[in-house]
Amino acid sequence: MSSAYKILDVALTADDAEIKQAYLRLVKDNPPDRDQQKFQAIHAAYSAIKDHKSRVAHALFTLPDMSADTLINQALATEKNIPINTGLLTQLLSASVDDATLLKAIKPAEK
Amino acid sequence: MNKKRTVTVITSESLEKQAQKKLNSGKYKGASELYKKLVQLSDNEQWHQPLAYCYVQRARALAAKGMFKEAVVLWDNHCQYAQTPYDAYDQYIIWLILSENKVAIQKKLQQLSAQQLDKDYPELASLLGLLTLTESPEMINYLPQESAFVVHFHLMQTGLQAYENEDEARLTEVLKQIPYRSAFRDLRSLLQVLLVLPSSESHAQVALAKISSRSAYASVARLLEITFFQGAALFDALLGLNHRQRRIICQLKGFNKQQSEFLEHLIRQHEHLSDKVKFNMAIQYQSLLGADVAKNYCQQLLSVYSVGHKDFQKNFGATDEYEENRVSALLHEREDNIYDAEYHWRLCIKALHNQDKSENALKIAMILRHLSRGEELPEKIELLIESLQYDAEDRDVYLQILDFYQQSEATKDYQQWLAKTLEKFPQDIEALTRAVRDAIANKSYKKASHYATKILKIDSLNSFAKQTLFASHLAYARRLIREKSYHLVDKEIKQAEVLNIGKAYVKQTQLMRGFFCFAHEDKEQGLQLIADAFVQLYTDPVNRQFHASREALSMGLPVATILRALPTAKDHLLSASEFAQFLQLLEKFTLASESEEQLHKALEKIKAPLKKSLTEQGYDESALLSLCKVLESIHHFELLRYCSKLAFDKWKKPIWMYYRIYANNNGKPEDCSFRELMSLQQYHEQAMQNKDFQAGLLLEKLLDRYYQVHPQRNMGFLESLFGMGEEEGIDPMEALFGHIPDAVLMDLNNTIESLAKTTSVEQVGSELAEIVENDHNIMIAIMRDPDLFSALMVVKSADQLGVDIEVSIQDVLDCFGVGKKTHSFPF
Repeated sequence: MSSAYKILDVALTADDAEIKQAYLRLVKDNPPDRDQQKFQAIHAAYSAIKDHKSRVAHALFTLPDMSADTLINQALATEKNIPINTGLLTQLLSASVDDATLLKAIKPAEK
Repeated sequence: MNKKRTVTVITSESLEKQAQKKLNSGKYKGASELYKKLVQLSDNEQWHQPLAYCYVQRARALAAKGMFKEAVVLWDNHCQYAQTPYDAYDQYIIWLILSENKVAIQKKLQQLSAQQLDKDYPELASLLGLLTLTESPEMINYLPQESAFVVHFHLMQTGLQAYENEDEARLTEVLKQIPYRSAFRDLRSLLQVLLVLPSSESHAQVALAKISSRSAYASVARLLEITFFQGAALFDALLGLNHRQRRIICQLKGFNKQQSEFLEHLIRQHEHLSDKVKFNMAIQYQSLLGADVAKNYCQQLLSVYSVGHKDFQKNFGATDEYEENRVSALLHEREDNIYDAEYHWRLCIKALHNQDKSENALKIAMILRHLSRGEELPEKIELLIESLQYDAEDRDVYLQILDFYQQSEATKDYQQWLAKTLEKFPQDIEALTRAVRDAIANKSYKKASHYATKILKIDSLNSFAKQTLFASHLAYARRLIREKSYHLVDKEIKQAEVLNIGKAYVKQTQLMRGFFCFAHEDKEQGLQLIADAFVQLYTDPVNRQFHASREALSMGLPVATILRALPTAKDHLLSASEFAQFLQLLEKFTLASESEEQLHKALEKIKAPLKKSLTEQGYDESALLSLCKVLESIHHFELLRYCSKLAFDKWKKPIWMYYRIYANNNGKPEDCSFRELMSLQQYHEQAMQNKDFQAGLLLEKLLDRYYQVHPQRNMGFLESLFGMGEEEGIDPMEALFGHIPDAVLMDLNNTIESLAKTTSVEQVGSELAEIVENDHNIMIAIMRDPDLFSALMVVKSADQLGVDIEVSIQDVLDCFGVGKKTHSFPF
């Protein structure tokens, strides 16, 4: 998903109303006096995809991300994490125990 | 004996010094050996402590290298020279555990007191807590049963059981019983995180961040945190984990077999992710990625990985020519390769033409507009116009075309497109505003009023439209007075008044009423009203006289009678603000005036104080530039000459040379002298060098106009001679030959050029040598100064032509400050 859609957290198929709603929500949470840079990024993203024409232009003139991240994001996408039961917790705790964990856990006393 | 003892003492001191030195520099092995020797020599207790310290430090170093058994031995050795509580005892226990010596572990754990476990070694207790719950549950039996540690361990077991039973109330109750100083404090925090986890990931993340990075549970907190990551961020985090940790994370993320395989494949390849690897992975895992995503990804990669075409066709069918060219075009643009980018955009358009999709026309229009950005004005306009064939509804494009036509001063095209724009967008205020401006520029006030009224119907507060209407009503009122149709004048003035657009405009209607009264009702009262209105409008007599003259002239009223009612402007010097007001007024009249002649007559009335003000008041350059611009547009060459001369003398800039020559020749550059032509060329070059393109273009226009009329008048040789020494003082070439008419100069030039073809420099030199009688100084001067040589060539060519130019060779030598003798031509 290109960054404008990502910034506004909307689907590629989102319509004008959905995009505007997402924009207003984000602007409310990130007013310009709090983080000018973030606000500008949100505003730029909205300008890029706010209506049908701008979305066509955005799709036309945005260089697709051909990095491996595109593949990874798609391939490793999961809906929800598995709930952690006691067995999984114990496995998680066990997996965390290694030499390094044991060694760094004790801070040498100051001489 | 005495001698031997002395030697021992000296050796001990020396050894101790050496040992101390090694200890201070962190060389513990060497230091410990020396201290051991010292202890062997004499079991002095003062050496025990540093020796023990060296052993512990060495044990630590070995443990850091994973040599836990060796570390344990060294620590055990240190005990011989140290007393309890031993240094690094908690670390020693960990080394023991890591060395997997079960007997020793059991023995040492059994030796731990409740005090040590609960108070002295909290970090060790925390680690033992983690181990008893995971890898080594048997350890709990070796630990002091009366300790808080053991009590908390059992509580934690109850808590975990409650967690398994999903008994949140019981778990919360148990966790409340775990105090802050418990060895299980961080496990308590982890369980609290797990309780909130399904509902609030962000809250969980905050809670996890509170677990210290040194805690025994830091690693598990990090693993839990990683489970919140997605996609590429998750992959990056997984790269830092071992296989066992990755497996549990994959399990928690709910990865299927294919996802796990993809992940392991990627981990193996991640350092060599070439386009080829990415392309092949997308094909290999297309069922995981989704056929469309895999196809799109491979399609886009084809722009940089063209070898993949065959595999692409095998797996996905025909390639998408449009998409491949689109990506190629964008990649070229990223590298600033506009030429190749355009080539691929053109192929995109071709591909879009061949497809039958509803949005293709819009895409073509957008590509054409995109291409137009990198083009020069004519091509830019052409592309924008072409784009409207595919998307005719884009108002901004129409306005852009108008802007570009305006920039290129293509008035006819501008008007044509303005009409098209108005036809397409009849309610568009921007288009209507342009129509008003265009009508005003063409002095079509009726048209301007028509469009202004239209604007006000859409936007009743539009001040530009109101001002336009106001000006139109007054202009019409003037015309009615001139035509003596007095019965309609009052109505027009009233309509202007109704617009109610501010105090300044009220004064103008008052003035108009004064003129109306003077023309139609009562002359005396009218004059009084006019004088009163001017007092309100201006503080100085010059502006009043000028404005009054222009108004009277436009209404066909007696100027002298009206001016007599106003104070005289003869000796008034305009202040900077009054001059600015005059400029504003002049610009306004220039825009509105139907007759240049009237403006000239009005200017005539204030010419004297204006010239005096220009000379004496020292207005800034921008004000004079504005004045010259207006004077140029109304072709008032007298004032333009006056102003540009003043300005040129002061600032010597190309723009002033432009106005000067333009005014000197009454707006006819074709009439300019050779010397002026040379100046135009020189200042044109200077303007371009200084990046003063505005002046450069203006000067170029004059030059073009000159050469259109005189295409043959190229001075060749002489062109380089006439220096533009105006700034540097007297130009010798100008002093010697400035008086010669242009036509004679042309003939001289032709002769010099033909002489140059038939006569070598050496020949001319030897002829000159005879004339100057081999005067060495003169010869050196000729060699050094090419201008002297050129001037002599002019005299020689005049001599050859038999033309008397009233310049002798001596004049030339005198002018250049060389030679004393009298010489005469011919050579």
